[in-house]
Amino acid sequence: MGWTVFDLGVNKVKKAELQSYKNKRLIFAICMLAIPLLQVAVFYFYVNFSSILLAFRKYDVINSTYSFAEFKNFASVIDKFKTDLALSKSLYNSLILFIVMISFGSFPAILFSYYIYKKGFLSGIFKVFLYAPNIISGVVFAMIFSNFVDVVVPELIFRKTGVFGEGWLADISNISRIRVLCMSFTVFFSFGTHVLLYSGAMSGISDSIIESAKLEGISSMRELFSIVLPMIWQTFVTFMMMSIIGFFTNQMSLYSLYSEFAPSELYTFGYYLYVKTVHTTGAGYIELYPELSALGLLMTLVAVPLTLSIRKLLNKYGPSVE
Amino acid sequence: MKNKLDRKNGLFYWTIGTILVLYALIIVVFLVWAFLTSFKDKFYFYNVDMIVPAPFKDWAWNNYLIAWEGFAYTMQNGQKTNALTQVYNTIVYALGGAMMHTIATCMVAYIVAKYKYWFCEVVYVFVIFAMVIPIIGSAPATLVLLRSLGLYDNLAGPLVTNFSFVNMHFLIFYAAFKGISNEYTEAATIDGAGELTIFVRVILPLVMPVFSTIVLIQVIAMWNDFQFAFMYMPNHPTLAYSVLYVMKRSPKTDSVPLKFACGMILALPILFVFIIFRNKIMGNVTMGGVKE
Repeated sequence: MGWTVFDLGVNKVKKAELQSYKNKRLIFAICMLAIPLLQVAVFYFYVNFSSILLAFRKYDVINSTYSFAEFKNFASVIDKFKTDLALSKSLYNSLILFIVMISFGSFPAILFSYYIYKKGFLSGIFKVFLYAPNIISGVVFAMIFSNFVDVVVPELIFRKTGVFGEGWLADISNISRIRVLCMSFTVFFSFGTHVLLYSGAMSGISDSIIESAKLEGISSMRELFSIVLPMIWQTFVTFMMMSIIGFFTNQMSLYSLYSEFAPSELYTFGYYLYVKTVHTTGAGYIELYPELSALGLLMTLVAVPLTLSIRKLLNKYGPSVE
Repeated sequence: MKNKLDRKNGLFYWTIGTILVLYALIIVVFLVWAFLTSFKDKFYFYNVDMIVPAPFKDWAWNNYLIAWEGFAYTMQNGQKTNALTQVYNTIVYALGGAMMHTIATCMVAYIVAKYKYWFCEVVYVFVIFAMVIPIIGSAPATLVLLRSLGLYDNLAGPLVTNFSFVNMHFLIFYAAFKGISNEYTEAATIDGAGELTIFVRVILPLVMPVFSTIVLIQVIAMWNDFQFAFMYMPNHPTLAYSVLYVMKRSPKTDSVPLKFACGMILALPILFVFIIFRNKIMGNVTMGGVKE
């Protein structure tokens, strides 16, 4: 081979340099990941672990200590579904809201996003207005909406009919009407986000696929259901999964419309969890947190298999890209 | 061939277009009405006309001064707050939180996308897992932890909690870094650049459009957020939470025009930001990078 001692020495130096380069890369990678991973270790793993532990604890106010409570918190939560109006109504309102959001939000959004994707008339301007609820705070829209239906509408009715009524959101004797108003408001202002995200997914579809379909002579509707929908099916599946999570977390805009003073008959799970977590003042929060953690754990135990099952079903029976 | 809607589907075309026109009209009418009402005198609003704008010569410009003063109230801890403090809190919360969120996500996504170590695969799978598996009701445990770490009810707490890469922007950054050819890093390595230099001076400028777009989107979202801000720092209210307070409780802004003036103080700055950066914000930030 003709290797000299010099050649072997050069190879050793090159190997050492390569090893040094690899070590530096490894150290850099570890340093870049260290602090973010520490944050996740504390605020994801530790927090969720302690949330599970908290669900099995009880706070002793007299001794200021936690003690093991077995399943008492879970029993208390289940009992509250019968005794606490806010929690019992949460199940009903969250379910209705979920159905309404799916029916009037997620599904129709596909049709509207297809219009935007196909650059229908004024679609550029519509995009701006669909984005508006993401730009302007929900509390501002809620303020405008609530003052309109609570102040302006009763005044207009009074001027027309001579009958003075309470504001539609303030009149808690008509909970059904308030429920419809809150749901309508929620669907209306979350609608734009759905449409824009679907149209974003559609814009990732290759133009050549659409063009070759057009050459085959298919109509827009056929294109939507046979080509576009299968191509964005993963986005649709993701939205369905988020909708299921929304069943437990959606507040139906109650906090922005009522702050912590919403009528108990209107509560949703998301609103219940937030208000009880944030607005229990003094030392009361320490006593209540174990129960809230138990409620959260129960919801997670329902949400996780439900989400994964829906995902599996939709992927199995949904349209195929092929 | 243009990717245009087939106008033969007249019913679909006109139905969807009409509904979108109505949607846009409702938003415009609400916002314009609120803006014009914010310049009405209280007497004019309740006794003359609630809907039609007041004549320009009768505009109550001092509504905005009164609204600004209306942001001053006493907080849960007995201390007083005012609009200037709330603006400061909002800027720190929104800008600081957005930067922490984006920096953490960018750093981790770069390593996971460009470095072939086993722990990078683990991190990627974990992010997907955390986004797919919903965990509900961990807020009480988070608040207990923040209290024990001394991060509750101060501006540092949200900055720490926002330094997280477990979010959908991770996938956007990941795709962006994956799309960058390794030739850039190889050339820089040959020139003697270290890993940090490569990241900061070669890679980061290439993903700056994605980085800045995500910062912008997060700033807007956090400027408008009132729930998490109040949850983590109840005695350091942001402007958004104070608008909610004003809407429900403040005696100083007890009329509709004054409440709307408070809302406009929150909404108008971010609206200007949106108008200036609308193409950037509304451009599709997709898995393939930024689409203009």
